[in-house]
Amino acid sequence: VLKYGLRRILEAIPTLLGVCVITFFLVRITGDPAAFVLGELASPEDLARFRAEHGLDRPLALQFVTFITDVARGNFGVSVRYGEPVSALFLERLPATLELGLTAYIVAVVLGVGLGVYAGVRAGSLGDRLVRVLVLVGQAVPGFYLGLLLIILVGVQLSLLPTGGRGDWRNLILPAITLSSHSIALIARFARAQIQDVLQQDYIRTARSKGLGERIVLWRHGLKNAMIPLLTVLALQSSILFSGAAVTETVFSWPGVGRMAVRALITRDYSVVQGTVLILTSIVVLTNLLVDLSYGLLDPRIKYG
Amino acid sequence: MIMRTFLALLVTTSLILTIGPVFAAPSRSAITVGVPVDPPTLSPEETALAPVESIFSHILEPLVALDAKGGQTRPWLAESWRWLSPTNLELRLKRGVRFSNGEPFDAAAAKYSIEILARGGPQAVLIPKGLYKETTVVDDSTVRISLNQPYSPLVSVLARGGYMYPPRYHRELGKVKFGQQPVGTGPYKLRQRVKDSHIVLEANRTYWGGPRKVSEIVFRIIPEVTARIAAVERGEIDIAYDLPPTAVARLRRNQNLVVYSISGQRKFFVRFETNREPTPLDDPRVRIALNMAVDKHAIIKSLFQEQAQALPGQYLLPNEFGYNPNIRMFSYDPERAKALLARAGYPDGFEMEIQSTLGRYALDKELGETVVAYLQKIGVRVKHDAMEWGAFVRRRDADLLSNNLVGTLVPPDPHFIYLTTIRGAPRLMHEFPETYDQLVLQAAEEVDQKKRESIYMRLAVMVNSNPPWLFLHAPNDIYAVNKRVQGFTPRFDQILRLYDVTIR
Repeated sequence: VLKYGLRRILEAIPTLLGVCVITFFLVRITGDPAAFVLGELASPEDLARFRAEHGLDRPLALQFVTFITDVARGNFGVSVRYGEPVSALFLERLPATLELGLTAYIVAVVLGVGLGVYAGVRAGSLGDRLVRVLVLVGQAVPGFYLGLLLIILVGVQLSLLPTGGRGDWRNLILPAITLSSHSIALIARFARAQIQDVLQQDYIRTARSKGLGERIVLWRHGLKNAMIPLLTVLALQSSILFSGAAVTETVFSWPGVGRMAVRALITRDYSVVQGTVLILTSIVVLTNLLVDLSYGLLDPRIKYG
Repeated sequence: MIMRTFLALLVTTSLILTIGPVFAAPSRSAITVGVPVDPPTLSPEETALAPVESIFSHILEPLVALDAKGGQTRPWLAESWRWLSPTNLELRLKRGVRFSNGEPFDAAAAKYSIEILARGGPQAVLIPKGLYKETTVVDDSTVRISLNQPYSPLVSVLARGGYMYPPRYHRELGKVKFGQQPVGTGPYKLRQRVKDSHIVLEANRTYWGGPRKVSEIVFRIIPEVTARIAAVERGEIDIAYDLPPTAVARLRRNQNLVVYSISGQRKFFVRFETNREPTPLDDPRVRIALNMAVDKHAIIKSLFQEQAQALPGQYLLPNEFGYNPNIRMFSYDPERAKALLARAGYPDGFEMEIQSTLGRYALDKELGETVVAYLQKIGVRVKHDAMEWGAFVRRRDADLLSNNLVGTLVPPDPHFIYLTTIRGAPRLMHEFPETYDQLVLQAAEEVDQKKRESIYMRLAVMVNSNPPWLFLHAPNDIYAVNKRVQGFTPRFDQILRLYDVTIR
């Protein structure tokens, strides 16, 4: 397992390097932060001085080498906008993003698996049809639209929950639903298909013919076997912790990493964009590795080589 | 089992993470304001953005104040001032004032702060290069500013950018850290700042003007405008700042809110590029024709729901110093516009390119599209390129640029606007005859208000007959305020100053 893990980590290096190259050059295509910081009326001399102060006047290749060397030393640079190290800004906002992301993830897993299993077991029933409609809506409605809809409906019209900001548990509900809606639909659809498939297997028929109760058949024999392919989907969905955060955090004024990244992108705060994308990619790569390793725990037949 | 452990772990982690710097509901004696921007700094040395100044203007104070309507300067930390000569301004400072950290506000502090203003930063664009000479301390409560040449708008520049810094504290912290933990003479002190979330100011008990009635002002950062509107409708915030015209009718139906829609300083126009290569725009008749081709009033009615006013064929609006009431607005007349084009030698029109911003200002893309449609009616075929702000700032190379001039930086003297239109100004797209530039410089030297006003009026005539812009409109500044807030007065410059508000 250790050898396998080590090999996977080494294999991730080219991926991260690719992300560095893409982010570094893409973010520079549409301009630099000088005009944002100094304003539209800044003179060409002021702009040139700013670029020189921040090393933006040096050849791109040289800037890239400096960036990569700094990253290798764990230094993601300093934000032009805040004048603070990117790592500090990231860590400052990480708890908010994790809080929202983890809540959304739990909601997605519990509701997604629950609804999927329910629909799978009662295929063709009214409940199953309702779940299928929910799945369709969940996958079709974009997050930002659902967020605004919830704010207007639940926040303003019904006055049940706060419309935004980070506060107590009530502030979490609407953004968590928004962030998890797509994943709930996806997990439910997949879980339903898996359960239906597993319930057709011979060993389920055998278990039933042995006289086992339906609950034991479902939980011990059905769900556990449906779990391995489902776990892959659950793991992939764990990236919702961050992937949907940019939109949801902006709509709900949630002070997290996603909102910082969006703002940095608009203002061409290169270091923040590069640092955030790189750290988030590393986290996703690491999560995928952990999930691959966890397969062995669920199914002892799986060997790592 | 594994699933259960996994879930338990997630729940525990989530609960642990919830314990962090979160936004606690403010007390009833606090005022909460929803602003669109998370300020990267809270120091006037580094920013001139109105939403940010709306926060730090409660902590730091200027030498000279501007009244809410914007026409008049009045004493603040400077009790009085007088011009000793056209290049020497003497200011007498208020005595007995202290910064909230205990440092005295005196002539040395004023000298230190004026030097910061003159040295650089965003406010320094208000002072032409090479103008500032020095500041001398005359006595404990008197300073003298010396210039290399006369510059009459200096007092209004001090009102816009002349904030006072505590020298010892500012030197110790440096520019960047001071922006994170500012200290001033103002009625409020910074208590808490959570980036991208909120900023809490608490009343300064030792404020020279006496403690304020509102004990706390909370600025909540809500960039999404729909969320800002929802928050004020629900009573989560007391004041919603920077709202779009489309929100006015709906918010006015809410009985708990008062909606203010006041004449704004930000001016929208299309700039003509005549400085690059020969173009039909070289002929002033073509530029006048283009001005006549666009129905500004229809745009204001349909697009901006009457929450804007048309620019009257000159840079300034009727309530601004230097406005010329004798100039007539370019009225909408497509037939006359076509005739003018024909007389200029373009009976079949011509082709052009226009660039506009996308999503930077309310309805900016729609505005660009509408202008294009109007121009097409008189035979001017325009290719429209709407782009995101960063790309727009970088490109800016079309014949026509749908643009705006940021009003909030501008002092109540229009000299700054004129400075952006003479030779030597960055990104100058249209040159006037040299007499225009000379008049602009002459206005700067004229200390007599009346004489300066008449120079601006002559300049307005030159602008009207040789328009560098397709004049469009100035959108209103819109605020929604909960009725429990009393004494709120919206200011001409978009800057909130909640010194005298109370809570019902």
